Amino acid sequence: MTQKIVQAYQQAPWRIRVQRIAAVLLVVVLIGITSGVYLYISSQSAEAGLMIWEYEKEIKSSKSRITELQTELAELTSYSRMEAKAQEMGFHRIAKGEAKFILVPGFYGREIARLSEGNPMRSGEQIVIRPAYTQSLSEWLYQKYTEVLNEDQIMVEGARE
Amino acid sequence: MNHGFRSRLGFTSAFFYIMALLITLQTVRLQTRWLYEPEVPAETPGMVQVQPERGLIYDRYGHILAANKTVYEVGLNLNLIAKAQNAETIARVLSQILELDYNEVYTKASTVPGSEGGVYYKVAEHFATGEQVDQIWENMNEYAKRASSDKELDESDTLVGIDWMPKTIRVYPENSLASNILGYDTPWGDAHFGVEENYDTLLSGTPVYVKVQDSSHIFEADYEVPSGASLVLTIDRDIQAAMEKIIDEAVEDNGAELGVLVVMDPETGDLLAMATTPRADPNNYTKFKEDSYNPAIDRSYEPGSVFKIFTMASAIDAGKVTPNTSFLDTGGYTIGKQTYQNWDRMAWGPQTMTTCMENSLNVCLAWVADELGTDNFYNYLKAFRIGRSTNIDLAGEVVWPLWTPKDAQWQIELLGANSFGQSVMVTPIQMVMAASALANDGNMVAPRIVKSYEYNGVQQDTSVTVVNTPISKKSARTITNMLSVSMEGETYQAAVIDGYKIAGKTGTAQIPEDGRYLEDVTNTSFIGWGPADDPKFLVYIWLEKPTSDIWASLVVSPIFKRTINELVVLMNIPPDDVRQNLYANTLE
Repeated sequence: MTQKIVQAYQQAPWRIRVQRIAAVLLVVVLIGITSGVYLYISSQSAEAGLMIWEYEKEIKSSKSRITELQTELAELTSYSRMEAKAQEMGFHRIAKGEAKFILVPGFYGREIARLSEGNPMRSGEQIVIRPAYTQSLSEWLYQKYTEVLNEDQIMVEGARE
Repeated sequence: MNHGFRSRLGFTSAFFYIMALLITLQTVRLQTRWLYEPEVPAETPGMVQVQPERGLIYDRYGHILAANKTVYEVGLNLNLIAKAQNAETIARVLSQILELDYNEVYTKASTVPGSEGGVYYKVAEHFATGEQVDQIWENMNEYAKRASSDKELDESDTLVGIDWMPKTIRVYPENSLASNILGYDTPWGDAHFGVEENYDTLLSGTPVYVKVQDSSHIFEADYEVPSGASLVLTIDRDIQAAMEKIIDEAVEDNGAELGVLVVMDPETGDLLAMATTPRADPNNYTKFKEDSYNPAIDRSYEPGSVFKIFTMASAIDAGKVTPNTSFLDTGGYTIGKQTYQNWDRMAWGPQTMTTCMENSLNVCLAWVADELGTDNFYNYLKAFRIGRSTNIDLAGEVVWPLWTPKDAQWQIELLGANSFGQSVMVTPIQMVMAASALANDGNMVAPRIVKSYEYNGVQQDTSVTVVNTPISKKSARTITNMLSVSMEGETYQAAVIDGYKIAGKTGTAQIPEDGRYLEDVTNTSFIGWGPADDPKFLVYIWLEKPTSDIWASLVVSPIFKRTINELVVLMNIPPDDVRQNLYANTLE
């Protein structure tokens, strides 16, 4: 009797098969869509990466050129050349008795060479490349998770106040 | 549902499943590759080391003293050459452009890839110029064009497989200026002497390893090589150049074997100049054949009477004498079995400690050391770090140990000899560091050559180091005043500088050889600092074996005077009365 009732309410076998196939296809389609989206983002990333690569190449070549020019400038402004040029122009080194000394308020003498601002966060690379192009999926998920967590905490603290 | 439909559906599903699985796997692999790929690949066959650009070296005001120049490493990609079978063509073209031996290039180009322990890349020329590389590029294009237009030609008539990689080598735009301080870096990356050797790790940076790929242009910009750290030295280029000119001329005029002239800020230990003669040209370092690259740090000698300043400062600090303590010079003083005499072997009669210094009396200083006591005397010398390294940040510093009563070689007779700077060996830089205590209110500062270093956008300054305080501020002021008073005496007429009160002392030292002192050959030195009431510079001059005269008062005093006359202009130091008036006006 029980078996008969079960059989009475059972779906037709072809319907079950269709449902199963539909479920499988749904999963496949979802994976396909996710993969498609991911591939689209990856292709965009790759394009951006290629541009970065090109810019890095340019930076490298510019750096090399800067090095060359720096060396050239150093040679042109070397002590011996500058001294010779100064003499050609009629200048001579001041002798001890020729100097006149005056106090200039706010002037503390020549400043020691500063080669950089001293702030590593100002480095060009960190400004140009956004984190989206450098962080992994897991890093991004963790970042979002901590952001949500922080928002919750802020809300709780706000409620306490 | 028939069997055919089911199997088609199963096949399609399996295909999608496998595709999804593969995409997922690939995604996971890409996202997690940092877990299993090392950040810097190890050096393995098939990898090429790329050296970062060496950091630059500047003087204190930003003038470049050591720069870099781009050259090219022309290499042979053996994978591509083996595929194209064009070793002969490459050897013919490269030997012509790079002026190399044809057979040598051919042997390299025809090496089987992966042989010789996994070699895939060979260097044809390490230092090709930009013009040579341009010529190679033109030839490559020409050959490629010919090969594409003439179908009968195969790849063996191309130059596929030639690669080049830019790299930098050191150049010194100031040539020999400050070369004794800088040292040099060879095109092969070996740093020798001076700053280059001492800071080699910082300057050279961290090399990276690049994989040799199976395509042309293997060294394209797909890797990042951060430059090494740059250094800002304490050296002032203008002062260095002026001091080099002075010491060069002094060595020549006096027929000396070598000369040293060191200028230091006694308050900070900043070396403003360290001039030595002769000097190397670091752009042609192979031509320099001298034993000593920088005698200011790598050559010890008996300093003679300049050393008396430490004996007198110690005795004053210990309270054994004052500037006015009287002494009767009878022309000889005996310690142990040795009787010490003055430089002129004469008796100078009644003296004070100030006139003892002015007249540089050995007899008087031997008595002072005896009064001070053996243990006290050597404890003070140790406090002045005599016989110990200054740890200056330059490669190649030498140290001669100081014999004290604890050493087996020490004898009581050494007390007298040491009191006036004989039988004790020092380098000029040791003398400068020890004297900084006298010029800087008792605080002895470590000499330094690097003011700051810059790496990856951050500039870090080095700090001033007070090594020790061997004497009190009061004793330092007393000895400075004594030496500035004695500078006004007759002995120092050649060194007197109008308008400036300077503390100073000459030194004429005999030179030992084979256990005895040489006749008619001396080392002549001068140490001085000023302005006496607020020292801004400390100067040490040494001429080895001058032939013009044996006495420092005649040889080095005029050099000292010229040095100070130049320094006060270059350092903007007004005469004492002008300076005091200016300060007085400021206070008003």
